[in-house]
Amino acid sequence: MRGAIRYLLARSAWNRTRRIASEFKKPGPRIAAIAAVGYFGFLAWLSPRSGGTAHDTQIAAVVGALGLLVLVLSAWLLGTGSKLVELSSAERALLLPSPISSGRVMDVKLMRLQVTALGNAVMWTALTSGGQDWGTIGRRVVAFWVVLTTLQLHRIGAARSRASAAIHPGLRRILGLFGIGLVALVPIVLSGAIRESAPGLTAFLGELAINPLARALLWPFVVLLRPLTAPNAEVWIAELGAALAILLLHYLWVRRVGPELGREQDPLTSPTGAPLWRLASNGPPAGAFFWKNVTSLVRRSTAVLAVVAAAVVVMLPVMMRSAGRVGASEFLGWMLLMWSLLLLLMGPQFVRNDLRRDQGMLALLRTLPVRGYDVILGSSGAAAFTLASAVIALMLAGAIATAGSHQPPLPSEHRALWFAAALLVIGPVSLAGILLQNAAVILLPGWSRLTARRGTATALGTNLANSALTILLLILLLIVPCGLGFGIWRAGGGDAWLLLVCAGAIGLALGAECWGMVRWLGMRFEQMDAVTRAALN
Amino acid sequence: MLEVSGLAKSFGKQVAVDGLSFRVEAGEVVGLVGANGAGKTTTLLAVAGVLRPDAGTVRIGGVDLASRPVEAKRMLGFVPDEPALFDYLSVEEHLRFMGRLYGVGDIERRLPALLFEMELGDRRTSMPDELSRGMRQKLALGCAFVHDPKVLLLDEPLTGLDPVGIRRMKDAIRRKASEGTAVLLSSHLLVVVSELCSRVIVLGHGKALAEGSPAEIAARGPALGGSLEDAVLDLLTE
Repeated sequence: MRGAIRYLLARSAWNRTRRIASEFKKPGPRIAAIAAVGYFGFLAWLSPRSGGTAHDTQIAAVVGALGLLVLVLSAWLLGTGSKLVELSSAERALLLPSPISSGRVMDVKLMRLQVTALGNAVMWTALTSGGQDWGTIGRRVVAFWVVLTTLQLHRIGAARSRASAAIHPGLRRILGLFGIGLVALVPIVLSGAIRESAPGLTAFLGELAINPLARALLWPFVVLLRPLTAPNAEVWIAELGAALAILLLHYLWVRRVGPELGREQDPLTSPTGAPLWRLASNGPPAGAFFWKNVTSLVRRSTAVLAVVAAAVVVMLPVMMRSAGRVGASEFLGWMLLMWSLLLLLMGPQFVRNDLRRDQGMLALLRTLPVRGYDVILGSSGAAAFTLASAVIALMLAGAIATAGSHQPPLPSEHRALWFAAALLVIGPVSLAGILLQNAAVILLPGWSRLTARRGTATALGTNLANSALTILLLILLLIVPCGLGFGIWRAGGGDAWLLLVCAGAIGLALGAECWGMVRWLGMRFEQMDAVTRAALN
Repeated sequence: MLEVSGLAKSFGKQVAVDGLSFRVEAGEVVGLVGANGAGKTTTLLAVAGVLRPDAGTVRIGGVDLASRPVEAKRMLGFVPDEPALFDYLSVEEHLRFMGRLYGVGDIERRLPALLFEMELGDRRTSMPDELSRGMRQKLALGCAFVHDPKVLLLDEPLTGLDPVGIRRMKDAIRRKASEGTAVLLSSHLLVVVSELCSRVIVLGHGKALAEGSPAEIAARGPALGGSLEDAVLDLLTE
């Protein structure tokens, strides 16, 4: 039996490698791979060449532990690990009825995940080990492997615990209380550290490293991360023992927890909840697509959680300000303003409740009695609405938190006018970004489908290339509107109130360009073959 | 009701449909049969507007699909072999969404009857991933029936259905035809085709090899009185 499993693992790894290698003969995957390698090369080049001071190491450990805490919380709240050991249809049909224990099937799945864990361990080592000797690099690969495998196992364990809870109401109550307690503990610990620390991010992170409650919360993560920062082989061996013990405990937990493999169902990851509003029987077709795509977002647990997290982040500086912590509030406020700008530029890549979500449904969409521009406008409009709402929420929270601040780059005068002007532009810019991303689905469907292979270098490279191209095209689209706005500004003598007029003109001109794109993409949508020959046979 | 003339579609050098012409009148059930890759699904997808033909015309209720697609598609209902459903819309939301797009103003009044007809009354709030294969197929059929189409296209409509589901699907097809709907279906199940269809088109390499009633096609078989299966096999291996 072991021989059969070894054969399965070896052959599937070999065939998968061959398939990936053969894909690179096509230009799309090759460009994506070059983009991914270039990106990682750039990050590795940016990585620090020296180890830094002990204080830097301590801060880095706290940041890493906080990152792991966020990933662990999201695993429990969202069940993000359920896909990791999901059985394929072939595994369901062939492995489950075969005389192999379900524990052995789980081992097969875990072994397969090792390809990802090892690859990521090498990648992270390359990104963080600039100028290090080979011994340190080797130790770091092992240390990263332990962290990533433990995290992988934790995500699987959390998902399988949730699946158990779906069957056993008692366990569900216990896990629910545990989750609420954990989620409540995090803001308590963070707000306590903010209260105690001096102003500034470094001081806050330093406080987290010594605050007893924070140390207790982050302790398991810090233990797991210690081998990464071990200064020599002796310390590394001593630290690795504790980290490996955590890994082993996770393995035993994953092997024992959850229903029988292949029988699990996590109702919490299924789409659920009521739509925000009921679809009216009559109205323009674009409105129906807008409703459908907003509903698709509302029904994704990740999206709901992202909204809750965003609400907390948005509320935090406002609460700080009301509590008299003006310095911390300002700091967070500037962070929020920066994030809102980043989200506006990079968000079209991640907010995907548009045609990208319906890529497998293009054939059905083409049978519907609607014009292509209705499909494009409704679908892209929903994603643009989502993106613009998030950007505006972050920006307004940042504006409130930084009220009275005299720091550049925003002028201290006419702040309200500047923010009001930004409000007029955010919607059209969001729509333009989303339309550019959707254009790939229609004009380059094969390229766009590469992004669906989540977690692969090809998908990462495709997303990177898409983002870069979107920003470049967005800049090109903004040339005429911004020229118009600048012309109005100059003609009007540069008075402050003209900001609103200029922003309105920029918004309208960009909106007109978007409408042109909607019409053109709609026409191309009507002309495209919505299925490929390969899909027909 | 459905008129296909000189339809051609190629994928690169591969010819999928090669100058195919046929008509389906109101109340008629026409079956497309042929080997894998004969062009059945390509024909259905071109008639449904999913694929853009290289040549030829498709007219639905006298309306040209290429020049007036919205008006033509309003008269069309299409059920693919694999039910195509949005994984984030419930059963009744699918029907409401389709009703809105097909301009069915009184969808709320029609919903209970549709759900009853599709036997999905107690699953109205279920999501597609909570439905069995047969239920998903029924929902896809409900989506195609929501606007009482004049032309119904069915690609392998009986695939994956249990015996009860098969019987109900056959009844639904017959009922629609008796109400005046023109039905064009593709199937590998020749027994079902001979049972349901008033006319059969045998496709090979994208061309019509034979066309006629099941009895007429069967009569062309190797032996007089042979079955439709014998005749189709004979045509496809020629």
